[in-house]
Amino acid sequence: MISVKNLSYVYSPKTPFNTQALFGINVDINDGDFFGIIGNTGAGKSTLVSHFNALTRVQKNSGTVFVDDVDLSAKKLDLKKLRAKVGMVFQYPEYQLFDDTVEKDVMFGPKNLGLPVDEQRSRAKAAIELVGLDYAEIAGRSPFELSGGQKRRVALAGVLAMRPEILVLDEPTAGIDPIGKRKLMELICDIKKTCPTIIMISHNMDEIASYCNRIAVLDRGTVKGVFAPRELFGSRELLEKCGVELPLVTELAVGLADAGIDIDRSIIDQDELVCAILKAGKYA
Amino acid sequence: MPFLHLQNVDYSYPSGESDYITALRSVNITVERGEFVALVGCNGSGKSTLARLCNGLIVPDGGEVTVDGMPTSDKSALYDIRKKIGVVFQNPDNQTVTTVVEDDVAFGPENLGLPPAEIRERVDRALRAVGMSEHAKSGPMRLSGGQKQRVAIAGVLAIKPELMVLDEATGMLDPDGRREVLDVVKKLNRDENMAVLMITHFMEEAAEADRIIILDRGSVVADGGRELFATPEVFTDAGLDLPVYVRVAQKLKARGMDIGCPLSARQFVTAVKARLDGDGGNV
Repeated sequence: MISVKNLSYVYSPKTPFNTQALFGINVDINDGDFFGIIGNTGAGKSTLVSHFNALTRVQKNSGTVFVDDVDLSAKKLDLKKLRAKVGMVFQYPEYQLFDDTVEKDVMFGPKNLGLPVDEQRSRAKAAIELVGLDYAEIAGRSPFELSGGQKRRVALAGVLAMRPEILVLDEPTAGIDPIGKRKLMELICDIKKTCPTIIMISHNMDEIASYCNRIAVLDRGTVKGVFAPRELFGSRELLEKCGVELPLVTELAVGLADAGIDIDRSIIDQDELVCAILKAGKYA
Repeated sequence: MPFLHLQNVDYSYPSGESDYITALRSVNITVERGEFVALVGCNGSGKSTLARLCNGLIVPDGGEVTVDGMPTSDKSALYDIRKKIGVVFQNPDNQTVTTVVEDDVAFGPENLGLPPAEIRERVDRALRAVGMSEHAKSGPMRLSGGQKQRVAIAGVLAIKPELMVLDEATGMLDPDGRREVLDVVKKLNRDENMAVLMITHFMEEAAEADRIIILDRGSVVADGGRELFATPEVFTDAGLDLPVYVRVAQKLKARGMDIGCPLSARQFVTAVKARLDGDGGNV
């Protein structure tokens, strides 16, 4: 579990570029959550999650972050242990591929954990297979000659090879085509079986609504609230207050309701919308 | 003659020592002056290769690309071609060359060797067109993604191209940023009659174009108006999705309620409402 209490963060403190990115954030992420973080550019989403594996250190007198019982504001931290536990997949992670073969690239994490070579290799193999790639076919190839979608999967495998318990994904489907997006989300659900806690930043409200059980809305460095999907997307008041846009399906439901049709405004699923329309027309 | 014309274009990339990967095969595409065309296709379909062919960043292995009658293979014509076609790429950070917004926008016209007064006027106009005038003196690195991409568009606008190619130019932006950029592009198309070739993954964006071209594994598999959505297979076969209102309409049809093929969210609502009212609830 991750527990954030009263967390603030300032970039370039004591310089003319001093910018406060986080203002007293409080949020708890439970084991087993598929936790969504939304908010516009500059809301502080990335700054917040980069605290979770201590890439960004908690500043002095600026609150606390606990990952289970580890206090990340402590001076001395076992970073290796922490980073094996909290896996971080950045935006466009394929830009971070660097080694000359896929296998070596994926082994890099386990190698830095100081694991024996056999173990590094078996973990790499398992991770490559977990992301849906053919190990025998791809292990010896250069990551740079793969397609965009494959590269992203390799980058994800590199993090999974560390066997994290918490996985943080910063816009995992950005720039991927629609079908690839759906496949990647299905893959993430598969990963959740072995890595029980997933934290996902996304601008795609359809993904957020379909996959997350809890959603934190960030706005200019503060948490506007943590909601269940229906609670958030079904409340016009909340959406306006938080400046959140609707999932496309919900937008249709709201359009129909506004036109005087008896339809629930909080629908977040296509099939559910279909049933509701059929019911309104007594087709069902 | 079409303004932009790709005729039987082939293109392949070298892969390894002696192998080639075919990116485009016998592609024929036209874009007329003032048109708004969306080009869609899944990852690896050849969309970005096509964008690079438009202004002669790469030249075809076979066939020909002409811009206003000038072939891109003619090196002496490239300068003129790039005055006529501007390309905006996906990542705004890779398209910024200076540390001040207005200098960045001036980079194009300066390279055209225009007189300073004309440059000033073009820069001001371009920044106004994208709604970034108040940031003229800012550093581009301190802007949001949507703002940076609008500056990149202004930089292309200052060249006064007749066709703007946007290669997934909204791909890295949040929903607000995406709308900002789309609104600016639509306005330029409407008010300045600038032609637009928009390469995108967002089907809802593509649905706003006059014409949609679908690229699948290097070939054009469909080219037509929004009525293409009435034959959803052409999209799904190419590995693409459909706008959500089309998908819901299909599901309704499969369950016995045919509302036709809506071409926008508004049409969807109107069609459902009409159908429900017409049925009087006693079907």
